[in-house]
Amino acid sequence: MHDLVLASASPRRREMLSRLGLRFRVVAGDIAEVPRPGEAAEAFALRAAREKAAAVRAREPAALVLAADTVVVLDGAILGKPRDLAEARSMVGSLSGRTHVVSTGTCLRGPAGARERVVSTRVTMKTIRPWELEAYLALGEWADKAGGYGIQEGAAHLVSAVEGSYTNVVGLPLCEVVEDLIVLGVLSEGARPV
Amino acid sequence: MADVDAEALRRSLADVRTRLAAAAVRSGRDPSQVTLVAVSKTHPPEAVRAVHAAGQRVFGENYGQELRDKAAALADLGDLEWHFIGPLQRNKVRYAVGTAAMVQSVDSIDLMDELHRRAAARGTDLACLVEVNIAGEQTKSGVPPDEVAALLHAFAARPRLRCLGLMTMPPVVDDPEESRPRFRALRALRDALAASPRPGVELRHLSMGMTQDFEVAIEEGATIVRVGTAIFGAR
Repeated sequence: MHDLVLASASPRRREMLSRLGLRFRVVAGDIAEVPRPGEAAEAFALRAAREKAAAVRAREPAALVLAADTVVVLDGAILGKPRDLAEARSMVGSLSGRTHVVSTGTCLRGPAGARERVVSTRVTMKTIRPWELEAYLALGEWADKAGGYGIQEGAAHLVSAVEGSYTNVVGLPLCEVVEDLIVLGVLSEGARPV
Repeated sequence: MADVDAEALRRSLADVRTRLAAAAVRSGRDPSQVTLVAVSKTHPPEAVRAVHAAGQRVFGENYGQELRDKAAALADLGDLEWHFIGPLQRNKVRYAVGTAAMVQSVDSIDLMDELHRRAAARGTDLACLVEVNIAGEQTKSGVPPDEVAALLHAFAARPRLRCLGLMTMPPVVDDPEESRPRFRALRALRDALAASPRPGVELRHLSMGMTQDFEVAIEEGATIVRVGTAIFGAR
């Protein structure tokens, strides 16, 4: 029996992992990371995931820890979480009619070994009319979301194309994480740890 | 101004087009699915103009400044399309982005970063091919076959770039049949890589075959051939 620990407070990651039928605990490992000068977005996402995993592993040495960090990138710059409505307006507005990249670094680390990777998805938004932007912002969903939007919620209709993993844009590249869980022996035929 | 024999250029282009079509038909393919890139490096703009007048639209260049100068000299030809096919240093990227419709010689993530930076700054998208060193020669440019997947993976996070296929430049040979196993290997590599979808990657093109072996390349699945000498003559 594997003791799987999700090192993330994100309700979206928790929900996605639950749907796999996996039993796991949540130990928030969300430590505020800042990109280093010149650090590429993908490298930063992986490093942040690694550091979250390491922080939780220090407290849970017998557990298999899954940590993830998702960044939203436009023109090479990482878009953080908007601090207020004005910042949300300019952030979501900057995505209008453009293709941006969502990259998630994932790190699985436990007694049985470690797996890590970065998955990137290209997301294209339609040209958003000013009133559509205001209607979206009025939902209040922009708070606490990288890039100011959640693809699975009120911003779904603003997205015209997704190229690559959809679940990655939600916050956890499920197909790839499951592959890693299989490699680590957590998931196998007839032996799901439910 | 250099002397250009427009009539000779027209004849040699027609000859190459006939051979291209025959090779396509011979292998059960539609000739219109094979793009001819006329490699004009070291040949003057007047020669390009003459070949363009004979109906050719896609031209290939190997050197950054030469591409810039020739594109400027031929700016009045609105339907002319440039492909950059030579080794590209980071400091020459600025000559290619915005001028070339396609860069066929992408062989490192550093180069991708610079291409993406320049393309993003100009607000343009850029089609790319990854150049593969299929013969495994030390002297040749391109990435080894087992490193291509990592390069393709890197396109996902560079949304101004799109990878449309693979390119290879095998060694010059006397007998075109010597190139066949290399062309076959590139196609097999493409087919294997195409089994895994990747954001920003559509492996629909195989750019392979030059003056001495383009017919063999077409038989092995080339969608782009790069022919210089047979059209423009020896430099």
